[in-house]
Formats: sequence, C-alpha cells, structure tokens
Amino acid sequence: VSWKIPDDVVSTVVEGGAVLLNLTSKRYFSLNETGCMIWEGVRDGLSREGIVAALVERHEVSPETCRIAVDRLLSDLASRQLLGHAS
Amino acid sequence: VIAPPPAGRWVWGRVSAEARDESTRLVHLCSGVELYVRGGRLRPGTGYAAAAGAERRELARAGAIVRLRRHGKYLVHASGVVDSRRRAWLLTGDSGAGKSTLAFSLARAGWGVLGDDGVVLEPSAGGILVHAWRAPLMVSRALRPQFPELGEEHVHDREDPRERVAVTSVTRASRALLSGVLLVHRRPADASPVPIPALTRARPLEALSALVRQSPWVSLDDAHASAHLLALGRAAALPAWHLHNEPARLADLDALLQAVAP
Repeated sequence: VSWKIPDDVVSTVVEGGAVLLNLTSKRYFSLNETGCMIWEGVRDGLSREGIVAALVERHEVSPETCRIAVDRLLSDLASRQLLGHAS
Repeated sequence: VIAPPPAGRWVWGRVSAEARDESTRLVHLCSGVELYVRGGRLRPGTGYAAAAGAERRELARAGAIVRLRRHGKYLVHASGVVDSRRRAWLLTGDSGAGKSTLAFSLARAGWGVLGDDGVVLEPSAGGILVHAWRAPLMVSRALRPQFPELGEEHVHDREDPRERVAVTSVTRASRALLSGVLLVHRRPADASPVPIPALTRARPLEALSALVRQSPWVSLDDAHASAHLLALGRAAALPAWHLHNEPARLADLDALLQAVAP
C-alpha cells in the first residue's frame, strides 16, 4: 500500500513535531517527532519500507516493531482523512 | 502519536467563511447576510444592503481579514505588545485567559499596544512583522482595584457580562518584528497553593498548536492555506513561554519578560 497526502490537507513542521490541518473537516492534529518523521517520509514519496529503514537508522528499534508502529500511524492518519491511498 | 485536537472555533466572531474557487463567501451567523470577497474586492451578497450596520461592519471586518490573507498577512487572535527595545510579543490564549489585562498592564509600564483582540502577522526576510489591528483595548472594569484609572472609562457595551471598558490611555504601536510568543493560561481558582513559575518555556509544537487554535482563518480551504500555516510555523519557531496569569504578578510582568527576552 502506498499513501499520498490529500489536496485538502496542509502541514508545517517545527522542532519536535508537526501540525496537520484538514481544510475540509477544519480540524487540526499534531504529531510528535517520530510521527513527524513518518509524515515527512510520506510527503517525500518514501515507501513504507523506506520510512521503516529511516526510522530504524535513527532509533534503537527493530524493523518488525517499527513496521507495526508505522502501519498503525498511517492507518490512524488515513482514518482521519489526513492520508489517502495513492492510485 | 496524534494528540487529540483541542476544541477550536473556526469562525471569527459571528461570521463564517467558505472558499469557492477564487472567491470567499462570508455569512453572518445570526442573519444569514452575505458578503463576498471576489477579485480582491468586497461584493455585497444576499441581504447585505438591508442589513444592520453592526452586521455589515462585522462582515466587512472579516472581508478585510480575507483580503489581507491573500497578500500574505495573517490575522491571529492575540494581543500584541511592543517593549522598550521595539520588540513585539504576542499574548495568545483562549478568551478570558487574561490577554487584554496583561497587555494593559504592560502598556501601563510603557509598552506599546499593537492590538488587543487580534494582530496581523506578515512573514518577511527579516522575520515576522506584527502589524497593528485597530480595535480598542478592552479591559474588565472589575480590575479597578489594580488599575484605578479604569473607573474613569465608560463601559463599552452595557450588555457585556464582563463589563469591559475601552481603554484610551495607552500608547499605540503600528508594527514591530516579533520577538516571542506567550501562551497565556488563567490560573484555575482551585489550583494548588504551591506557586508555579509565572513563565515556563513552551516547545515550538505547543506554540504552533496554540497559534493554529487562535487562527480561525487558517482553515479556509483556498490556495493560501499552506502559506498561512507556514507563517504560523515561523512564528512558533521563535522563543515561546507559557505565562500563568495571576493578578498578583501583574506588577512584575514587565521585569519578568525583560529578564527572559532573547
């Protein structure tokens, strides 16, 4: 599964995290530093495995554990209409 | 990983907005009267010609905010003050947190006032410029014990439960570069008797969330939303503090801020 950021979602990154804003629902969300790395990975077009590899490189975490966390966040973001499936 | 979104108001006062292609439709929530911002100009919509003056003014004010946004200038619900070294500070927080009281207290100590209920942020090469938003500084008359001069001012709106008066005796500033952001919190009445520091450092993400929460127009679904959010991000990257508002500390506020100023 690959993901894309919908046109009605804007974001900005600051030290320690990011804020995502859904312009349709008018709701905003914040991500911590790790969540922000995953978000930036999607924004930069990385695959799920690319995001996992980047996280494993920076954090002491196994690929398996990291993969579960990445999938959980991506699903969470999708359920809030902050991510969509790439066609 | 995702923080639950705090409840926010996505309207300005009693006006809501909706982007439609290149125009923005503004609607007064009480009457349904419409005003459009189209081609950079304000265009009357349904009911506008016959609307009450107050409603037309509120719509026109919202229209001005939308027009500013198209020029890279963004209104944020905050008080803005300027210190003796010409540095601007934002005081942001929910209604009733004490922004106006703090701004007035600083004005009495010689600070300039850019705005009470809102100021305009403009990203520039040199930083974030804070522009004045012309509206009277409104302070509760209940603060007369601390500020005796409030007794001489007239209550602005007789139906205002907070009995606020429009303070005229402050020095207005027109613009200054943003130096820091203060996230104002009212100390709850049932707070622990253990004193908490007046100022604690806020993380950029906290400052950004606070500024987004106080920027209803950032969610307008048009081509300017991304630049608007980016501007708030630049402001949030500046030094920020939580300011725990207590009447007993008002007199020391000037010194407190001067001590932490970058």
